[in-house]
Amino acid sequence: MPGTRNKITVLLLIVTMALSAFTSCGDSKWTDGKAAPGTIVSETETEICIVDQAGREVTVGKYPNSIALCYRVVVRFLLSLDLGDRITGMGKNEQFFEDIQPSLKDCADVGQGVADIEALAELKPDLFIHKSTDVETLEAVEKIGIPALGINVETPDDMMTALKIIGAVCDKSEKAEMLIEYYEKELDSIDELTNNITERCTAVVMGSSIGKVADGSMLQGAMIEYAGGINCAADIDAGEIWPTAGTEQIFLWDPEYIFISNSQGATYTVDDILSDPAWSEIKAVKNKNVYLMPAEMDSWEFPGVVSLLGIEYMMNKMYPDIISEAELENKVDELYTLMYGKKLGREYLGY
Amino acid sequence: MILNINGLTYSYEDSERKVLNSVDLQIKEGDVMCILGPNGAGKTTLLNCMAGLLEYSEGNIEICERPQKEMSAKEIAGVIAYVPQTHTPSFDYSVMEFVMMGRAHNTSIFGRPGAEDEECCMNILRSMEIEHLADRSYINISGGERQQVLIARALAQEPEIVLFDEPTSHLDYGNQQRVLKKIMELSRAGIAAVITTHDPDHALLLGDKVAILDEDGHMTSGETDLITEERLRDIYNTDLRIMYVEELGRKVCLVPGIK
Amino acid sequence: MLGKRASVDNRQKSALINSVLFVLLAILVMVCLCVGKYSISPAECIKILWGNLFNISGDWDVMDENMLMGVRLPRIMAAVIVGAALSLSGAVYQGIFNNPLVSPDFLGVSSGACIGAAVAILFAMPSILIQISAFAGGIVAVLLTLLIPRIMKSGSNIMLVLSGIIVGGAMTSILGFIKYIADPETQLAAITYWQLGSFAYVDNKAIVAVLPLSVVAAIVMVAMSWWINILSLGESEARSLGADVRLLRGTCIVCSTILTAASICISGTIGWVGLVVPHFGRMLVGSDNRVLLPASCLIGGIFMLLVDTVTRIIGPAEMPVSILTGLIGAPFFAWLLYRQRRNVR
Repeated sequence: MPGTRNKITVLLLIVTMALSAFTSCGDSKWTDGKAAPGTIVSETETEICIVDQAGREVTVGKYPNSIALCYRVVVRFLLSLDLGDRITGMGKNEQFFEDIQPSLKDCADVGQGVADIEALAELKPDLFIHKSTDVETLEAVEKIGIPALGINVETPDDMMTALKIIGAVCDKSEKAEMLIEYYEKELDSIDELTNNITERCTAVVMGSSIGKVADGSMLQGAMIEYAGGINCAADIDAGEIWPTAGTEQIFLWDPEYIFISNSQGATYTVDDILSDPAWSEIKAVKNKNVYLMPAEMDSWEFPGVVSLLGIEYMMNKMYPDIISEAELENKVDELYTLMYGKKLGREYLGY
Repeated sequence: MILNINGLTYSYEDSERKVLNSVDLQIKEGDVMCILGPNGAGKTTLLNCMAGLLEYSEGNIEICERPQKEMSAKEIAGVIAYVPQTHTPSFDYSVMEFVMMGRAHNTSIFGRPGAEDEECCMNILRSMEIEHLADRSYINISGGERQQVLIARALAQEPEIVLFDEPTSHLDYGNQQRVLKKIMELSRAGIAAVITTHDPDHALLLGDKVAILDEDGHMTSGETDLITEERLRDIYNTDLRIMYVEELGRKVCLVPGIK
Repeated sequence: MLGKRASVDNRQKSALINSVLFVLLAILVMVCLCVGKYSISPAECIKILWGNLFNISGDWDVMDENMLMGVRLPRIMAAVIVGAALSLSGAVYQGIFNNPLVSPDFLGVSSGACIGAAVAILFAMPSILIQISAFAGGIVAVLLTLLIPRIMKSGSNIMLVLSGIIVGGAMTSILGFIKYIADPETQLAAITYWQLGSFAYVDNKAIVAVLPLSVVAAIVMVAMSWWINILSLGESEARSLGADVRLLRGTCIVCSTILTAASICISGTIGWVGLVVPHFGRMLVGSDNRVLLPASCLIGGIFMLLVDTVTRIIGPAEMPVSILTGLIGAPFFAWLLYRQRRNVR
């Protein structure tokens, strides 16, 4: 039966090839999710292997001198970890980034949101950081020999893990610990401050167009709750970010505060809402409690330690007795000093 | 003179070939002009030029002593009616609506035909004995009926000349005869007709003017005696017989047997 | 005599259907005014409406009044206007291009308007400029489409349709490019929202700004409806009947484009309505555009109103109307084609 034997040989060959493909697939591979993100798998003099937030084991040379990214949230993390000077490639630049780290002006463009693999191959950074949900990109970048770290910043816990991972990989653990400690301490004190509020304010955060709101699963929604308010839209579960609750639903909620996200390219202004006669009876409008989230230069509703300021801003608006304008200003100065080593004035930031 | 064509030359864009080459043609009140010619000889092109649907490069056409190029579509439609080959339109109109469209040249751009126009169209349908079709859908009537309706629409234009593009090509014998009879009737009423046809026998049957268009776009026109066996052989590249049949009292054109 | 009476009967029947549709639309507007997540009793609704109509003040809740007059009424009006405008221009386009498969955006008006809006969003312009930019974008796209046959010295329908495909394709790519360079974290959502269409927030200013021109365009087209019948026979037949095809078609294209661009200004792009509603209209009242155009307006208004009301009241979050119009429109169109399979060549 030579035919059968041939078939078996071929089959074996295929199995071997498939197996070898698996094992030769590189430094990073899927884990069963047993090791928690941030777990250091192994560490030598020259290399560190860590579980990233996509659950992949990533081996990075010690320590990366050049970092590339196209997921903009990451820039803030790196800047706050004093890693700005190591960024050699990124997507769209922002005035704020350049003001913090002038060298970013000459950064290579490796794609905004979507990685430009060719540009990355050309740039050859020591490390690529990207959002953990986009595993395809992470794998593609690994294939061209650049360690790719997946980061997830959806929840405060994830944010802290992200700081920890970047800190460990880039030898900035100390700064990361410092930021985490500050963040936790601040959250605790915010918690303490808001604990005794008996009458909680209702609020919504609206997105790119009127009627779109941040639900309970979103950072902006959670920020209202941290600040001691009640997010009217908390229970909307539409499975999409910024679900359209609709004007009617907002009328039905009749929130006392309306915050407009400044990260969504809102096509309307605070004045549009305040001057619309139809909205005039809404509590937030009646009491002129409609605010565009600060700050002009650096959005306080981005994931990261900076979201503390967003929470504190909301508190200042909803409960000025608990955090006064001056206290808010102190907090802002304190945080920016901690992150970037300098105070950024009210005028510069625009809040 | 209703129609006076001088030196009409037409060739399609990007093409050297002259579909019509220095064509001369005159048509008077009540004339019945049959245009014969092989496939692709430009018979329909000639009709389209007459009706002002195509821009020709050389020559000129005068309609009722007026240069056609100076006339608007409405003015032309007031003199020349066109009966196209039957086809299924994209949208479904009732026969009455369809016939009423013949009144367009009397209607302003924001206007619509009125009761008077409707009366006129109804009379035409009645005279053609197809008033029972008035509320039928144009899509759902037979090919013969459609041809009748198209003629009715042409008459609704109250034209002086009607152009027929192969009016008999999709019709059975009975319907063919009805159309030819109608053309004769129009002629008696002073309305001229230009008919393109593949069948030389129809030209003999109508028995008035004949024009023969060859593949080079040249045209010869005259009376029915223009139709000779020799000419037909040249045009159609096949054998044809013309003979007088006593029983019918006319000349007929027939093909000899196919061996 | 019999025939004449029957044809008059036909027209009376069509007029009757249109009156019924109008009454139905009026009733639906009233009903839809009374339903919503924010509940106001029908009695209260009527009281407030009545009061506002005759300027009588009453003892109703101001919040209720604002909800009804300031939010729900403009939204319902917008839905009816957009539905009517899209359906009207769809019916007219199908007529003048002698092609029942044409929709109002086949000359590129939708993609052009999207680009206009996207560019404005890219430059972080205020909402009123986004709307103006969308309107201008739609018009420019159609002008481009009309320009190509001119350059190629061809006046045929096919050339125009192909030109529409070329411009539409190019526009889609440009839009893709704008979306690519747009900030995914801030601007992309706004552009996508615009593309999918929604009445979730209706800007009264936009309606007031585009309404007068749209009404003029609609009146012009309805006035020309009989000539649209003639154009629908095809170019050369229309011309031989005495139609100035270029003038008529040009006027219709300008008016339709204004209507479509205006409706995109109000609600973003909404698919299927302009394609399907005229077919439904033909099923009800026949192909005569004199009756069909008003009928399409009414049916389009009713359809859009119902679809928007559904998105308004079901689920915790509203979905873009385009999703629903597509979900309803596509199978309905398939059913129509099945019914008319004999006539589709």
